[in-house]
Amino acid sequence: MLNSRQLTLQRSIRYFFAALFWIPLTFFSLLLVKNTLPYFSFSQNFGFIEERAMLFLKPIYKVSFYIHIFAGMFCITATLTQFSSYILKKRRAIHIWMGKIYVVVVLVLGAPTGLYMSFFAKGSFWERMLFMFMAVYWFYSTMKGLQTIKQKNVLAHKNWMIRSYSMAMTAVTFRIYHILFYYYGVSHLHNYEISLWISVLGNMMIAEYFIYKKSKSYLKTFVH
Amino acid sequence: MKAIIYAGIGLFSAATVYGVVDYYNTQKTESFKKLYADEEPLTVLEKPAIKNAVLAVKKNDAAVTKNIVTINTVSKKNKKPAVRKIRLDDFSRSRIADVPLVEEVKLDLPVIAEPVKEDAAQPETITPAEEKAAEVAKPERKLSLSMFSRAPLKIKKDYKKVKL
Repeated sequence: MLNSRQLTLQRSIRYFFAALFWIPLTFFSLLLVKNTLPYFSFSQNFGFIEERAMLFLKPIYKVSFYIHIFAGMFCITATLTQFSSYILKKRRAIHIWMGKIYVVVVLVLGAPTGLYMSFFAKGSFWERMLFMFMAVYWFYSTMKGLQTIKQKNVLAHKNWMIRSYSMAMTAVTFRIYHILFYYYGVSHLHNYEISLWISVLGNMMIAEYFIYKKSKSYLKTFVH
Repeated sequence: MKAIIYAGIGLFSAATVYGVVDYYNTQKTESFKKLYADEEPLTVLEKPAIKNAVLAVKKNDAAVTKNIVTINTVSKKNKKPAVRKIRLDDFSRSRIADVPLVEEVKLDLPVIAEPVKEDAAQPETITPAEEKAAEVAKPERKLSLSMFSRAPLKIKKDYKKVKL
């Protein structure tokens, strides 16, 4: 049995690490949104569009791109509220509505457009496959998250939504790795490929670690 | 919510089928092969700087020759990594263009000796060429917030005045 001082210390450490995780995450998520907004000027003078000028001649690709970035932007900001225990306990309606919107945006907009665009993604065959896998996994984990909450299985819902969020966050982590590798002089294509693999696999591993940790603490409650 | 799941599955399946068909159709086109083709590596060439060495040539000194030493500079990729600054504007998924560092390499060119004319009336002094401030590209990798996107990262050239 821990005394109150030890409990306070434990709580402080937990808050510290939570802040260490969420502050940069929030910052980079908002930065991504900020850098995505100019695309809605529908100008072609963006590096990303210029590089894919040939693809942007296809109306379907162009439409998919704008839908995808809108969906991504929305998902990343929406999820920032979803993991707040305060909102979950005190403002449950916000959690429910934001969750519903997130699910609709992912299932109907983000994942299908992402899958279509993955056929033309940059990189080799394996990078394209990775993009396809991301789209499928994002779709599947979100769908499972919805199904499990409908079955009132909160623990499974949390786990699937963590997985879904980890896929949404690849957009953010990719950019962080991309910048870091660029800074250390890695050539562009290698940088792109390495960042992509690390962001996807890394995020999946981090998600599984969180799920494992949560499940472990949950299972502990049955021991006593 | 079931309707959304079915709609999602429908759209997802449509995206798969259309993606495959579109990919195979696009693959046949010539422009598709050039898609994402890596650009030529950038080499920044600056103007060759020619500097005249100065020698005072006296009128009656036949043995003295006027030496014109030409020093050429050529661009060379530096092996050292470029100095990079993090700019959040470049926080992007796009290509971060790599600008190689340029290093001045002095070439030891042969000294061209010109015989001085005997009838030179005045002692001829070739003054050193005034130090010119030439613009030499000094590439830097600046990282910025706008780089946070999937688009290729822009080339940022910083020009620094270098005294030759």
